[in-house]
Amino acid sequence: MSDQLPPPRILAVVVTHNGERWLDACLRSLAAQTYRRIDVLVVDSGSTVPAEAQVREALPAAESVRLEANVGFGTAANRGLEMSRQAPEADFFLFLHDDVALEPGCVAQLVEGALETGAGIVGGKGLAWERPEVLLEVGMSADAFCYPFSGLEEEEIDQGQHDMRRDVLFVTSACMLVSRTVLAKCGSWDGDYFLFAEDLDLCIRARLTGFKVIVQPGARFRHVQALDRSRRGGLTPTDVRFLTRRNRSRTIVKNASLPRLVPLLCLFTTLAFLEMVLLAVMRRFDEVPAYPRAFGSFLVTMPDLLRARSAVQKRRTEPDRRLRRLMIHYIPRARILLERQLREWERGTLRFGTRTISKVTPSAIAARFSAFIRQPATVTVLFALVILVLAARRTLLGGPVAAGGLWPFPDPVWRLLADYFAPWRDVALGTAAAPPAAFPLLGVFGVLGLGNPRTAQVLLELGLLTAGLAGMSVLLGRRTRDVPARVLAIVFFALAPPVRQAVETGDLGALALYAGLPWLMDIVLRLLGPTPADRQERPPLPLTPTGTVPSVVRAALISAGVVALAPSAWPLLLLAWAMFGLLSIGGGAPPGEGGPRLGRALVSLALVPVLLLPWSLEAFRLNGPVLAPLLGGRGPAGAFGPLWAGYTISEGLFVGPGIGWLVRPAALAATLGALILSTPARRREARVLVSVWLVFAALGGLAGAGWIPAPAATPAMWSMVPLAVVAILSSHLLAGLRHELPRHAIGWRHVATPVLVAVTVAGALATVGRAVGGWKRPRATAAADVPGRGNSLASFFASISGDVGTFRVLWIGRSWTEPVLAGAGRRSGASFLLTGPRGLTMREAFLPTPAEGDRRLESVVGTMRDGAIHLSGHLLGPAGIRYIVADRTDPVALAAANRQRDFVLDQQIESAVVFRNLQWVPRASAATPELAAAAGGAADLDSQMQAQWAPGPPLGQRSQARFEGPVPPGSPSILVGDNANKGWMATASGRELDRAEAFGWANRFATGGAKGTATVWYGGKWLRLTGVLIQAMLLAMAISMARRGVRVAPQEAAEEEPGGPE
Amino acid sequence: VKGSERAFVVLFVAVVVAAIAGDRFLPQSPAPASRARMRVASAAGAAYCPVPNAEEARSFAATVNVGEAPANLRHFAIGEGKASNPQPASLPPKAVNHVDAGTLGIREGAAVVESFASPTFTDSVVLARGVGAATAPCTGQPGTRWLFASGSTVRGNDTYLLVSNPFQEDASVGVRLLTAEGPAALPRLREYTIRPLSETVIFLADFHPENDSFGIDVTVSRGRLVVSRLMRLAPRGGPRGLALSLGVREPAARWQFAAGEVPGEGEELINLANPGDKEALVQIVFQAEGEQVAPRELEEVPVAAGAHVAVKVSDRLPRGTKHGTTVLSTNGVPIVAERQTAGPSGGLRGLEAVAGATATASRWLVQTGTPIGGTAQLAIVNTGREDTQVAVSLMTPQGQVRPPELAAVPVGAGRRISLDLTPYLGGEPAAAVVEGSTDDVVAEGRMFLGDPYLDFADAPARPLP
Repeated sequence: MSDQLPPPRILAVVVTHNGERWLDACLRSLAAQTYRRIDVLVVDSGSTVPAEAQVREALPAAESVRLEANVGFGTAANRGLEMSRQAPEADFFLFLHDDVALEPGCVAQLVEGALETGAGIVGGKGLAWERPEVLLEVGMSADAFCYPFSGLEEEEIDQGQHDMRRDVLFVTSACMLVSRTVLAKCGSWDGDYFLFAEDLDLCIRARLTGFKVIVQPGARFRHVQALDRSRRGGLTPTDVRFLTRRNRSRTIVKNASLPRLVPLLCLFTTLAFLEMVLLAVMRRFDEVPAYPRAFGSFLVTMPDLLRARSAVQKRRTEPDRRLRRLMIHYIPRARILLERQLREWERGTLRFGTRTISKVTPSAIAARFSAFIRQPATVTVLFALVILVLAARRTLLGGPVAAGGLWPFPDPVWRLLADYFAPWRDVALGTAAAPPAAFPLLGVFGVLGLGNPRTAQVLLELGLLTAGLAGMSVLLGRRTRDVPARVLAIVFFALAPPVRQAVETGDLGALALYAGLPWLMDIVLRLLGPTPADRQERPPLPLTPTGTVPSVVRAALISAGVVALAPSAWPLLLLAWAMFGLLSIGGGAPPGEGGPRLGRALVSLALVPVLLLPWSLEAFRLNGPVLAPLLGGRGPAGAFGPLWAGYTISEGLFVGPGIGWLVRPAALAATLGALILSTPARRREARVLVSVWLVFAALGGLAGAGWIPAPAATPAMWSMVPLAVVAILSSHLLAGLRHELPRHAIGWRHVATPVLVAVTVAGALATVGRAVGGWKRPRATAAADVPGRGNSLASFFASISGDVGTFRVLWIGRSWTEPVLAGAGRRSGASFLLTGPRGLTMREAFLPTPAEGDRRLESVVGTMRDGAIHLSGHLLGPAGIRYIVADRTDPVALAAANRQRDFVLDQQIESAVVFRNLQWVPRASAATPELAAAAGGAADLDSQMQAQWAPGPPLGQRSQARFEGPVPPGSPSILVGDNANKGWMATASGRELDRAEAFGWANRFATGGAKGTATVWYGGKWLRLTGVLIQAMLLAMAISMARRGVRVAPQEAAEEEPGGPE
Repeated sequence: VKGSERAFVVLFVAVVVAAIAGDRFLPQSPAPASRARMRVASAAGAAYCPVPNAEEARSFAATVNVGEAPANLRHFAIGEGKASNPQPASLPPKAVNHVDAGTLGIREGAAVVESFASPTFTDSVVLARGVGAATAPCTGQPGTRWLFASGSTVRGNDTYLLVSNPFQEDASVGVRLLTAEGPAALPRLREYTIRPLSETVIFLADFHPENDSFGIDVTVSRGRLVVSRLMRLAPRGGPRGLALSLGVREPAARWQFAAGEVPGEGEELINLANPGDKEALVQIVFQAEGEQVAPRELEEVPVAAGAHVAVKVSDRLPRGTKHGTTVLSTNGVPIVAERQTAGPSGGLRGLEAVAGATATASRWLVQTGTPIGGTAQLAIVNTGREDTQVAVSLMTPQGQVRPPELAAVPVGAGRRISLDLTPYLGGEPAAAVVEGSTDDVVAEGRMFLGDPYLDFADAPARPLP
């Protein structure tokens, strides 16, 4: 302090609102300060009990101002300064919360810091109220989104480790010394904040104007943090969330420089979305509305905000980078959340939203697992699983399966997830259609497989099979506790012919339905009526009213998972549920209940398209993958046609094609036994099940004979419902034999039941014997490029893996298009296949609905096969097709390829002849003038073919939908080969280029003589991300609703654990 | 168990029984008609015409536009590792033009005719003063196997293979001969490399000792090629002749010839080559013309696997008989059949060897006429059991001509007719379209050239869609 000048005059502004518990201590601490030139102004911001009397008693010299309403800290402080008599005299203002108590030397230290450093704002060291050895703050920082960060560990002890005066981003308004000059130049508090983040705003404004903000650790104060710790009342967590989010966005808009503003706001909005999703997942729905509210408020105050921003930016003298040095460059929130969770884990509890699960210590988990593994149901599932794995060993071992709908995972497997988030997918001719909902599910297996494609596929197959068995175990567990009965049923369900056919044909759809159907039947049958059980002490299990909605949502979620992997399962489930419902109405449902029951079952399916948005917008079209097999015309056309051709009614009755002779009487015996010999409740359910089964068998037989459309993509899929029915019936029969026969008198049932059981058991054992021999491995399609399986195409792909540029491979011929396209369920007439440079992978498993470009490609290939074209390379090149693989076993395809003058023979291998297209145009490339001229005459195919054009140099690929590269001199245009999608955009030299269609499936951008770097990209990233977020929110809400049922009905929840209720 | 439950069980059993029975009696629905395939609006094709490079020979590419729209043509030659600059031309519908291959810029090469916007067919015509004349169809379909039933390495009866590689990749061929004793490999022609954009002439006498008759099996182990065979008859002091044939891509069980005639002197042979690994049993049936006595059928001729058999028609039919011929492999083993005719004098002075037709069609296109005139005949055979009528029209450089007298020409069952087209040609190349009411009709053209060529040329018919 200078000896010549008098010490500066300080005006302490204490803003209080219902803080009578701490105000007294605050004022007395001010009175005890060693620094003497302090005036005190207490601003009562609408306290319920006016603070004036308390002020008069604690500090009579203090000036007191009363505001009738709580106007927030900033406004209250401003109003106080306006109304104070002492304010004009003050050199510094010390703003204080009412729950703060200063140590005697605090103000002196603050003033000393201000004078010695010339800082405009000075803060002190905040300590906990009750435990002054615990640090609360020593200056603050924030991330780019204005989330405050103290840099302290939780409950960090003050040992002087931070006692160093230093520059900080901001200090809290709990105790903040501000010079008059700062308020004069930067303006006072922003009253629109009300609470939270106004101190950050003031400090940033001061810094932008050139003032320092420092922390003076010698200035110590204790702080209750009454608002943060919810000890003050008046604000709900939602209010806090609303204010913090709104004020942070406000701070960003006011203070960030223009180049940073747009990306920051976009990221801030995205983070807000993610927070909403997270809150929904954690079932803290009450807090979710705070976000739209904050966003709305932000928009409403936008004009004022822009004016405020203009004022701030006019006064700005410092660039953002000076500020950013004091900010933290990562998002601390995730780390803080994780640390808290870990601490709770150490305490043996796990908090999930409002729920706290105790006893999650490793020993408790081990004990629980031990109990689970010893359960008969678990043993049963494991037993069946071992046999199943043994049966499918040829499929599970060796190279990846490449048949039907089960194709190798892409390498790297994260391509599936990348495709899911990408606005544009480069499958087929490229599409902006929403990616299939299966990709995230499949991506999970990719992650579980640690990125290894083969491991991921094995896990997928095993996972689906295991899920099916576990589901059947749960389904049976509701009906009988008898272990042998469940073993018998599970053996049937595990090893019956449809399962074998699904595995042997790589039928992903059938496997998905296999995994989900038992779980769905369990829920739906319970929705439709009480479940029969076998003991008096275990009465039938109706669904509790509170559990109805969660059960519907659970069924919808499982159905969504099944439909995502097996789209054509949706109409199948619809038929099954409708029949179950109608039959239960006719079977004696209480009056007035039948309709609602049926409605609930159907609602669960109606929710599926909603949960699968936005993919369902395309998938549920008439020619989409859901309905296309059903509407694909008469007969077994399309998916797995050859398999359908052999399907008969009796095969449908006896659980699928290829059934052994012992299984037929076994299925018949189980059915007759359940219909005649079991208890009335079982007989009632058996009649419903058998009725549905008969209808499925009849429809399947008619489809096999070609009289109606194939009702599902594959016969294996169609057979799953009858299979589940037979499994349930066999358990009914055996459980009846063991528990329900009268013991007081021997009758005909005592003779008939063992006979039927013997036949059923013999049938089940027959499946075991056949399975142990091992099921066949699916016949791989060469297009999937399975190395190590004697497929010489693998070497071809290896040889082209180093080729520069993005390109596609066109496969023509029967031997790969038939097995592959059959799995797709569409394009049954197509004689070609289009893949990426690595052949066929799971990325192509769910092809988009053919667009104009696909139809054009189909016409070109058709014309090739007809022998009416000899320069098709000219027409295929602009679509990015670089290689054409012609099937040796298809002479028409081979002759067609041989005829093309602009193909060059590249490789001749055992199964195929590979041609290279001389006219290949890289996916995005500059076009030579001749090419551009040809492209311009898109309607004139002859001109295109006769034009002597050569492909131009490719642009570099930066991401899936972004290309960059220099525009070569004289290149009049840039070509992008895809479905002629309108979402592509291009710039060169900072100028947006005009687009025109070219070659029917390419986009052409006229450069107009522009030079420099051209950038081509596909827009709509934010739209896609919004779609993902919406889908995530819908799923999160559905999961939450489904889980809510678990909480409401704990008994029911316990019974739904895998392994049953024992 | 209640009564209703018993009824349900009975119903169930009945359904099961009905299902088992239904499977036996439920007929299969007819397969749905395949969806009409979309096509690009344009038809484009290339015709590759291997032609000899000898200095005394002039080669022409005669193209006929069979479509309804004008065809845009590009003529160029390939050879010596390059392609010449295309020469564009426009060809009206139903018209014919011809281009001298020597004007296309590459002397030692094959002619190529590309057409756009309308389907066309191209034939090559070879004229060599003092040697003879020949015609052969060009092909738009390069292949990996080419077969011939005729060949000779006897001095004065030379056989050349004209191997064209119109693509930009190397190709390799292997040649084996199908002789009367069985297959004979030519070691020096096992992996014979054909350079890109080139035509290679292989003189078989350089690779095989003298053999007067054999079949030829050309296998392309890498790449795509077009292979023709040129036969040159030039015995010292004897008659001369030239025969050019495009190879056939695959053997067949049935071959049909329309324009046979047993010469007064010389010989007509039916050459049979069996490139497979099973013996073929072949029956040859003749269709006579006019009032001539119907010839007797030949007995089955065995053709051993990989072997060749030449059947003299004069042993079966009187000399001077005009006839059609059907070659049928009765045991289904596919073979290759050619008719080879050589005459020292008279109307059939010269040499010709031509493969028959394997397809059945009701419309046929036959190359006829030459750029230097001559006479032209059209032979039509009805192999069916009923009389029929055919309509013949001509596509000339001036457009389509439909002579009224050829609008309804009767052809008796199992008979052959000959039509003289010379009055309608005006000394220019043309194409005849033969339209029958059934698929039992086959046609073939035969042209006679006077001095200085003194040869005749057979033109096989091509089916029209």
